[in-house]
Amino acid sequence: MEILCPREIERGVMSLVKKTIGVAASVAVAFATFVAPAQAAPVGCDGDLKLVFQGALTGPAAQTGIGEYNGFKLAVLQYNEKRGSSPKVEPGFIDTQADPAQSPALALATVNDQCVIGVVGGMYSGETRAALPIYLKAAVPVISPSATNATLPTVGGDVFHRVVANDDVQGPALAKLAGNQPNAKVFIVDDQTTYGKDLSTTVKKTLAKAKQVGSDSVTEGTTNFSSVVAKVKKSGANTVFYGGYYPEAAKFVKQLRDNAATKNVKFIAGDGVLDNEYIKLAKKNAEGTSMTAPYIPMERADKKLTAIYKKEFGVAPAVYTLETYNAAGFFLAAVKAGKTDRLAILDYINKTSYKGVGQTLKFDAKGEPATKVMNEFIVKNGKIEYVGAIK
Amino acid sequence: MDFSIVVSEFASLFLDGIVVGAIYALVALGYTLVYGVLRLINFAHSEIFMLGTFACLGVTMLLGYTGYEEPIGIGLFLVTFILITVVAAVASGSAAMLLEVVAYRRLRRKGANRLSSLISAIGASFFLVELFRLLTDSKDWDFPRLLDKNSLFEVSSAYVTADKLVVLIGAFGLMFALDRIIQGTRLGRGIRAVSQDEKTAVLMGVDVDKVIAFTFLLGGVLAGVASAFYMLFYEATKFNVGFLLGISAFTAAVLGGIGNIRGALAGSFALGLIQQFSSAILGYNWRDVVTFLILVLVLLFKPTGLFGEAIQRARV
Repeated sequence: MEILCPREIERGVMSLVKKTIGVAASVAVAFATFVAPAQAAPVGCDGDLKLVFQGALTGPAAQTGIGEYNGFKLAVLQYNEKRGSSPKVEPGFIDTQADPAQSPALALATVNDQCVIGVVGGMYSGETRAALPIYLKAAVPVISPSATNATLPTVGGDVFHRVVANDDVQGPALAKLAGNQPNAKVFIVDDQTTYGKDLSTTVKKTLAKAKQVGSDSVTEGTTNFSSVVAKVKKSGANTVFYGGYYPEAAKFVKQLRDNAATKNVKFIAGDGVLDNEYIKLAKKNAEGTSMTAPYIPMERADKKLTAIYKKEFGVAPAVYTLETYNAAGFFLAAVKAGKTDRLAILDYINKTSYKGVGQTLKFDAKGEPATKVMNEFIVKNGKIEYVGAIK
Repeated sequence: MDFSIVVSEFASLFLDGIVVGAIYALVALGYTLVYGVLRLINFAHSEIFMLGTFACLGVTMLLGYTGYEEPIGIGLFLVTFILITVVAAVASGSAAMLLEVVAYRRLRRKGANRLSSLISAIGASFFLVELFRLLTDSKDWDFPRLLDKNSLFEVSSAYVTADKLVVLIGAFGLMFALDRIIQGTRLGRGIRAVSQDEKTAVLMGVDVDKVIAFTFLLGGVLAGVASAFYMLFYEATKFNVGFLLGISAFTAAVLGGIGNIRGALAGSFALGLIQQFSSAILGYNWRDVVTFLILVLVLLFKPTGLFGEAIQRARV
């Protein structure tokens, strides 16, 4: 009997495994690229059609992700109840944890399932960007409810669409909001993250120079804002813009309010601060904070739908729940119109529009929404309230 | 660059720098005390501080403060805050002693080299951070407002508030008490003896294990009190709060001359002021660039720190 040394066995097995994976992957890619676009009806699908949600159902971003997924599920559920003779659609999901490292593999498995007619998602820009080349290759139409990075259309080609306005729209809207304050003297602070810095740069570019009285940069994790507060005080600003996320914003606004000279400044921030945790951390100091975000609260758009949602899931709708509901609605409208394969659905989405709840979805050549809405929100009595669109 | 702010806001920047420096000082003392007796950087010390902040938070939660109510009266504040401080000091002090037993004592008895202890310290630090990340859901936690932060009186551009006074008075009181303990008690003499020459100290009948345990206890208690001051001043914590503050406190200890108690105090106040003024003049994002540039320059030209002797022969 021949005795193999364990390491040799291991090596042999590993190379076999690697080869198999390599072959399987290339077959899968070839299959996806070759078969999918060529077919007229979902060949190789012997079950119900599938619509897939991509986002975080676990991990740190899960709260927003579950809110989106619920909106998605509700749309599919309602469709299946009233579909008549249209084909049944099964709601699927891929849980990427909003992690760009995880989304490509999951996306590949999704496109290889020939029953999948489209993807609602991804939820954040990073995971979406990583998965888009795979969707593009397999011609799977994608509608993201909440990925806002401005460069996504360059990666996603004609399969990518999104419901909300991108980050290039938010900066000027914030500048408008700040500049519209009576006798505005704006002090601009950013947290040096990609998000915060980009946003502040746009605000600095679009806000009239005469209205800018100073600026500073902090870091994520800053606790001591006293030198920034001293600068705000010296600048005589009556408005402070913060480009960053809510944990630091809460500390900053608290320290501004604690200083007799700066306690009445108007605090303005982007959607990174639009989170109930912000109010929990800053408490009364959060009152009056104005924020921008491209989303519409479901409560605002349709009270009846909100009640149905609450009954179904036992919680209130979250950020981007309505956008996800409508994105799924567009796909389902395509199925109802008799489109059942990826290319036909893609064509339908690219060429028609869909009247959803509280918003009409129509995409331009880049997949960006035809009407770019940026809404203002304000903290009032410990709650985030919708003010209206910034025009 | 804006130097005019130094003129117009000097007093307010100075006051905040001193308050931050006082908190650094209490933590820096822990680093320097342990270094004095063991020639070891206790990298887990920052986590002892972090643990203290959560102990503070736990007390207010048990007392039912949610943070939305008005600040409490001065009498009730004193009682509450003393309770918080004591609990934090006990929690941090006992954690520090436990750390010494678990992470260092055995290694020391086995005669392991200092590198092993250093790795053990880093391991303990990571263990505590990750444990608290899980326990606290990696969230930011806010601390209720106990003391009204309206200005009591003004000195030039500085608003002097009650919380800053509490931190300053408390920290200076504690520093004085520590000085008395080191200079005037039997255990303090033991600490000085061990840090000068451990072998001779043993020959003179000093119980080294006891002295080392006591040193960790002292450092832990100081970090616990610092955490109470920190929570009063910043009103927020997170599982990684120790890392951010620990690096600054450690820097302060090195700046002053590690192993030297008065050096640690001077280094802490210097660091607090440097950070405050550099971030006002150059922008907050330059704060750490300036801080560490100064540290490097000091060590380059005076490797022992501002007040230290040669690092290898440091004295308490």
